[in-house]
Amino acid sequence: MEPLTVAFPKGRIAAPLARLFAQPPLEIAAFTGRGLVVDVPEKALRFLLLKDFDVPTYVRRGAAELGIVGSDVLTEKECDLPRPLEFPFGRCRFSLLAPSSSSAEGPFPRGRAVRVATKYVRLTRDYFDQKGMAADIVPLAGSVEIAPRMKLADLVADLVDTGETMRANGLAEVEKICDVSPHLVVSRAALARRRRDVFAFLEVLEGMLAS
Amino acid sequence: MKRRRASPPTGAAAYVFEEATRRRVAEDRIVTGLRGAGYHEAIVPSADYLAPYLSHLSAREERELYRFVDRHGDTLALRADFTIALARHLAPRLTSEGSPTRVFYRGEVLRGGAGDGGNTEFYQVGAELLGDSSSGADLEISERCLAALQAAGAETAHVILSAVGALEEMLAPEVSGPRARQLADAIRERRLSETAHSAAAISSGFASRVRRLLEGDLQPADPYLGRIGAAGVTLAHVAGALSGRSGCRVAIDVAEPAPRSYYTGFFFSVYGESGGEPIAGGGRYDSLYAAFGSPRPAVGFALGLEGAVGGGA
Repeated sequence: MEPLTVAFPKGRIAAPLARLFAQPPLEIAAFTGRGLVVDVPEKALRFLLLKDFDVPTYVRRGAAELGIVGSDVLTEKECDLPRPLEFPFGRCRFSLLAPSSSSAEGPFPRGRAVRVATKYVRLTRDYFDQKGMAADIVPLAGSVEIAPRMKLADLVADLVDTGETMRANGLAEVEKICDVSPHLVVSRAALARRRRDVFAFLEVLEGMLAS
Repeated sequence: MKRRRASPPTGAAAYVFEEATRRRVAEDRIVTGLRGAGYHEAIVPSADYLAPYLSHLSAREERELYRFVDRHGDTLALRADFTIALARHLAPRLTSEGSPTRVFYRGEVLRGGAGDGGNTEFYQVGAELLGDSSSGADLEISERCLAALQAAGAETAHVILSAVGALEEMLAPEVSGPRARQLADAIRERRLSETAHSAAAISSGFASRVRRLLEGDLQPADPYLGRIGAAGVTLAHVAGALSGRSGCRVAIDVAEPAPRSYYTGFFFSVYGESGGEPIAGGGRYDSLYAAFGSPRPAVGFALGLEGAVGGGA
């Protein structure tokens, strides 16, 4: 049987996912080495180890039948792929952060649009649109927490898990924008071509998550 | 010195030499088949006034439009879809009575917003059958679509059949109204645990029905199709007829979302052997011609030549 291809994120949810996949009946050993394509022929599975933001592209364009990705990325990329499973780990929140030393008048500057550094341009823009506030979004690829200290931005919009990174960089949470959780997504083309294989795999995962 | 750009803009493509020939040969084969089946060509403008289109588009479809202001101050949009353009330009030329009309079209459509490097420019060939509301017309269009794909060289077609509103109707009488729409949306997103919890709260029998609908692949004789009246008869009729075609795999999946927002009844999507997007699709849009002053039922299909010739999109 042709393997089912799963787009697997290398980011922060890789470790808890690896622990789940190591459980029976899958019993897939943690991915080691530098190879980015990992075949598990005895389970008829192939894993593509990808950057989180690339997972929807692989699945939407049919290079992978399934993928695992956070709701933050799905929303940011306007991805409407079916999402059969939500994982009970790796949950966090997408929040607006300000320097802990913000002035008493609050973190928003008077007389000009607030400058916000983020990896999530669409999510952040939508949030400020909904609030009816003007925002000047500063798109960054990472290490967004240092942007206020370097006067690149007033605020940061980013994921907060334990809050350790946020505090270590002198930031405090102003407001939660949305909750974030990892999902398993499936390509509609895979449902058309390999419906039985896809649902058989989903049933296995569903059982593992329920146990 | 100005930088010379060797590549076309993201989402656009140029074809030369053998690739251009391959596409034209495929197109000629499709068009010859459509002409032979009694379809007449219609040519519509590649840019048109925006206003007549807006009420037929979802918010997402509207965002995909390339629009501009012409030198007279009118807002125009580049062609993003043939079906609405054809209804707008054909409706005033149709008589109120008469036998069904068969038309076909071909040309580029442009849809912006492909965030992941997908195409923004597509070459479509499609056909429409106007003035016939029967399931025979739905079957004729589905078969024309598959014949066109075969003429283009697509050897395998995975066909998903569905109908607008069928999923919500199949959830009745246990749930209805906004609750049915909410559950139907969760089923379309194939959310296993959310749908299982909602349905199990009603009854275990309902939970197993919801699971079957979520997994799709109803058979033509499936009793669930009997719950949706004429739409179920059409789905069974078309599925039964198409499943005998070589290289064609058919599934009735009422959780498949309608590809365009103007569909009103039966619709289908066709996937190739590779790629993530449908290579063709079609369906019934019985209220579109009424909006342009010439009410009549209509059903049609369109295929993207890129996907059809390459086996996947």
